Amino acid sequence: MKSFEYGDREIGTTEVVYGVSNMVIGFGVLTLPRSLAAMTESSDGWISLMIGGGAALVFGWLIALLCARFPKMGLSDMTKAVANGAVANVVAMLFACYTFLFVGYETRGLANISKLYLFDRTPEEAICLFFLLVLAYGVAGPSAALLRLNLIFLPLVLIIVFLVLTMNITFFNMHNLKPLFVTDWQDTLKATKGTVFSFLGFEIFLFYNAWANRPKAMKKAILGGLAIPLFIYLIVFVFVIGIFGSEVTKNTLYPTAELAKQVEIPGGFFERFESIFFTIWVVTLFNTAAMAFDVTIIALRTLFPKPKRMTWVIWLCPLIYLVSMQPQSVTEIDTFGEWISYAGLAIGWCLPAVLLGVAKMRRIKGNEQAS
Amino acid sequence: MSESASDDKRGESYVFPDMQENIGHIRRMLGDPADLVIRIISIGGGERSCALAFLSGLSDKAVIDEQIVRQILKAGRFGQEDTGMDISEVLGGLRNETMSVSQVLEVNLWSDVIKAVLYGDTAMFLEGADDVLLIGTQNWKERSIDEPPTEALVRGPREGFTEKIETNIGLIRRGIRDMNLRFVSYTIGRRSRKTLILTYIQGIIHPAIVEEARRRLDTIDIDDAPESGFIEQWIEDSFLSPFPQLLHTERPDKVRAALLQGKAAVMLEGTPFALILPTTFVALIQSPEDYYERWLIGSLIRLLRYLAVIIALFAPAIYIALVSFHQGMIPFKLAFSIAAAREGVPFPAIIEAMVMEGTLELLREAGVRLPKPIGQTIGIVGGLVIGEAAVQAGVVSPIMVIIVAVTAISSFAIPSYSAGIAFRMLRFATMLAAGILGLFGIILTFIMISTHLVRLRSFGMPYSAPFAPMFITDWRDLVIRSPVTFLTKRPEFIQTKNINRANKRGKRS
Amino acid sequence: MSKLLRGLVAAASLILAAGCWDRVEIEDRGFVVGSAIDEGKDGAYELTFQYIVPSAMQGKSAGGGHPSAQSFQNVSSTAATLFKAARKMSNETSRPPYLEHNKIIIVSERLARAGKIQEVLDLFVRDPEMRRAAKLMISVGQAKKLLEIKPPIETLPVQYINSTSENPQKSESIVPATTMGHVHRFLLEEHSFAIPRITQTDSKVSLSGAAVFGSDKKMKGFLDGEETTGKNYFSGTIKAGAVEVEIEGKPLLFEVKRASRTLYANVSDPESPAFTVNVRIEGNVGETYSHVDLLDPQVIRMIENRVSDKIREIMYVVLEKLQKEYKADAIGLSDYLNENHYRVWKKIAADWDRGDHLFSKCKVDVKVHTRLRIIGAIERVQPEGE
Repeated sequence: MKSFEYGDREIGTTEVVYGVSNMVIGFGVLTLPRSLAAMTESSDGWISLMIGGGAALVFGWLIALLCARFPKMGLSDMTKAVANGAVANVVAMLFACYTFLFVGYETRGLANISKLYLFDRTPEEAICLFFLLVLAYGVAGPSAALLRLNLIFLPLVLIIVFLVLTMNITFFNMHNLKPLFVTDWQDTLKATKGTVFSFLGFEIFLFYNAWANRPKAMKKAILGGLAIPLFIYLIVFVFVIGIFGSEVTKNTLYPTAELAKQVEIPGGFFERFESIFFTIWVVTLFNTAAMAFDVTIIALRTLFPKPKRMTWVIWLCPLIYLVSMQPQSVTEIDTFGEWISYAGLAIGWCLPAVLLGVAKMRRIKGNEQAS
Repeated sequence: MSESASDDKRGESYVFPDMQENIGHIRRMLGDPADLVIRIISIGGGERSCALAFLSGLSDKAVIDEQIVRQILKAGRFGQEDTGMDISEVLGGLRNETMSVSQVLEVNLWSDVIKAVLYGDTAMFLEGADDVLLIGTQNWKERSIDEPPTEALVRGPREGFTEKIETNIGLIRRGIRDMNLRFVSYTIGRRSRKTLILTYIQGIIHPAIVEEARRRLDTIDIDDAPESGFIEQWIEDSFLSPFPQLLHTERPDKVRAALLQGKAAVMLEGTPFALILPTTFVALIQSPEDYYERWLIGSLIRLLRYLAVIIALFAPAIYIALVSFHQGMIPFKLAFSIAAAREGVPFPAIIEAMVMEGTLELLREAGVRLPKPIGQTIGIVGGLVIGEAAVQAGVVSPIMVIIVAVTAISSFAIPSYSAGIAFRMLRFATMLAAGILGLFGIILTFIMISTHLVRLRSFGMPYSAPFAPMFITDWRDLVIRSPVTFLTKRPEFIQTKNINRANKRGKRS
Repeated sequence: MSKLLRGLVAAASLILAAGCWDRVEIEDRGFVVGSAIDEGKDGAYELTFQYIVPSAMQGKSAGGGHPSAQSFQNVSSTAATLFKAARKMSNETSRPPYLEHNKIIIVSERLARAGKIQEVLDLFVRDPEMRRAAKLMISVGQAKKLLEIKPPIETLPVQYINSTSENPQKSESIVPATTMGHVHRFLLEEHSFAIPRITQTDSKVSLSGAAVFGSDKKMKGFLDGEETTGKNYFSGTIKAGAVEVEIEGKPLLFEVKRASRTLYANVSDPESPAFTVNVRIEGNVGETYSHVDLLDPQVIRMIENRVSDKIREIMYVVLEKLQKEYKADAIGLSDYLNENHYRVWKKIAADWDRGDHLFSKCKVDVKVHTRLRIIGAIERVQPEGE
């Protein structure tokens, strides 16, 4: 049976690529063009994007190195190997908190956008509740299944993004991109912060590394997975600026959704494409939230191995609901998101880098045979 | 009567040497049924005699008359008592020189005898012998090999399985003349004692699938399995899932194709429906005709079926969502005409849709159950009710009628009947979700269905393969059915032991 | 698992029982297809919505029904803010207004001149129910009158106006339809712009002409049909058009098939940048009453020159008006500076068509190059040598 049970708990390289992209592509595509346009002049945001993407690739590479160094080990085990059990527990706890808050943020953000574009009177509380119910169902299964879900959902999202872009191609105006290179360096660097944040999320694969069946290929997979969102961000940003111009982008809450809004399918069966666009978008937000939730549970289970997965799901769901209901307005949601991003940067990126450094210095390596 | 052998209560009871005693015993065991025929013949007209016992409905009278009774009557040299042959030699002689029947066994256990007689064989008791001859005379009035009514094709072989398992085995063998074709037989049913055959091709199939299938088949313990549906439900992975995890088919060509892909099949005596395992979601939407037609046509038809699945699942839900929630998405003029059409309709769209879809299901069910001549009435009544009258009465809008019709047609376009039912069932869930949350509800149900599909497994195989996990080489026979010359590999996701099924066109090696 | 399932079912039934917040059946929506905004008393706004009467629409197309019933209904309401006006309308009509199908927004000239365009349009851009594709027009006179005309072919006035506004393909004197998306941009960026003008004559409307807005978002005035043509040549938004010239005293109509514009600016002196506008035109002879030999290269050159002169003339007229009278750069010169001479532009942006009015002083040189490609399917209709 062993050889045949095609990785029920094993994660293939393709799953990692898709999972990383799906994890990264979340709200970023919807909000990033606005924050970039607000901080930079004209279309210069792409420089910040490239810098942010570069930073993400570097950290992705470091994380991949760490993964390859400790094959078949999750972050807790790695920390245990490098430092000791107590540190490992602290790290797992921090990570669990981070991903837990992340799920809350994601849920709330989703409810917020759906309210704006799909509903009028339906309270956000209800939207969150339904989403959480589906989320609970999704997380109740094995992690591998969740990761495989990416293989179905990511193409859907990519198709819809490209559909929106191609249908907008007639509105694209090269003149809007000009002038080039007019933002000064400080602003560009400031804007980079936002772009770096939008690449957060893939660090959860430090935990999934425990089931990756080819740890050696992790490097390629993570970098490949990061390249997709980088490309999407770039092309979406250029399109948004090219179509709306910098000023409008700055003043539109979700420029990408607005892009979908002005699509009119000629002779089409549907008008108001943004509803469809957004509906599909729910899919990727679901996947991001589900993976984060999954990692929360994995991290918690390394701390408290006793309770079953289902128990965790049932107990965490109401908590997530409470967390997601805390911010009162769009600005508060944004602030909430920013905090989480800082936490992610520290826990998800810098910490593994430190870990890798210590491991290199102490010459600690994971189990060789497992690879 | 002396119970010399049969009083051994723990173990087996043996056949008595005395013929009359045996006759009495078999009568008692079966409760002296009306169809039990006992024929006592003196061999070759001599002193020695024997008795034939068989059940008249299950055995071939012609064979018994011509090949057994007649031969025994002619076998004079075994009939005399003073030939110096001992009794077992006589039995052997009768077996080897007299019977012109291919299948003859010599047994001495009562359980074997009873079982054989119940299967339609003839038992021959020779006066004074310790053994019994079991002569293969099974004959069951069998349906001829017809075109399978539930899976008719425009192009393709016109043969279907029958209720007789030997015929079915033959039908498979006739298409795959490979010595590695394996038939493992099981006896299912404590009382019905039916034959169940697990078939696969050794060397192609992954051994773990066979192992898993055998493990699950071994667990079956039931008094009777009237149809392969029982087997399916006993060995499937998840009984909560609406999706069939084993594919049932009446078509031998479909089973043969599956075997060659590295799958296994289960056939049960008494039903023409074989089960194919493992099954994937994609297999539900494929039909053998995709391969018989040229690839462009096959691919188009396949695309059409994917479309049918989407329509069958989501069309009424989308209608509800658009009409009750997102009117802005309906184009200008269409919106007004829908609004005008719905002007007099007293129900919200969700109720309207539920009522209409419910009526459709009722009609379908009634149509299936009714005898053919009355069945037409249902068509007329249904057509009137669903169509004209409902609209005229202002109960539903004309658009709804169109939606109902389209979904009905789409759900019947799905080749697997049980998958069609699954989709129709889920359709009500999507409609409900759309009624509560509009498009958002639809996408949430879509997420749930996808999650379920990805999680589901059939005999350890991921149900959503080759989509997730992805096997890119299998994609050439997925949505698009590539030309036959390109389909040189067996499906990768089944992890066959033997990968190549053809050489590239023009290259022989 | 089953616990979860049970919970789900319970939640679902609860929600169903509580009623679905957003469910409004299509027949209960008051579809608004067009809106008009006029000035009311004491600075209030008068908002007019054109509602559809679906049953009447249906009746007409099906041949039966109530053919006499009007297929639309205009409702007006006055309040200090537009949102309130819309709210008030809900009190007065059986079906609350639903604006997703709003195709057209007409703002009256008086509001535009008073510089209230930003206030008026805020709601239409802010509300996600609104479409970016809705078209904005400025009416000469009262806006709501336009929604009341009896259109000659279409059933709805709005449909009539909407289809007409999509005619720049055939007519050069209509500025390209301005959608709310564009307007949003105009409102945010500090430069002048032009919006289609709509005028009413009896039961007909005309969309030729444009309303010019300065960078202070106040309407400066209208351009008439011919001036709009000139403006379109400047902005490079000509899709098709016709130019009438005289050849040997008889008219010849030159049909513009393709037109493109390139700009060049000399910013050596930032205080007065000098522009060169190159317009390239291709086209053919649409109609002629003269007897010239159209196969003669000399004649062709002559026609080309006449056309070029004519177009240049038109363009200078509109330039003069924009520079001197309206002082509003609606022809996109500032965009060009912003894109290609960013640093210079940053310096003079504040004084372009405000403050020092550099736009009014700058020199614009127009060059037109015409190519006559085809003379039509025939050479002449009169016998030769007549």
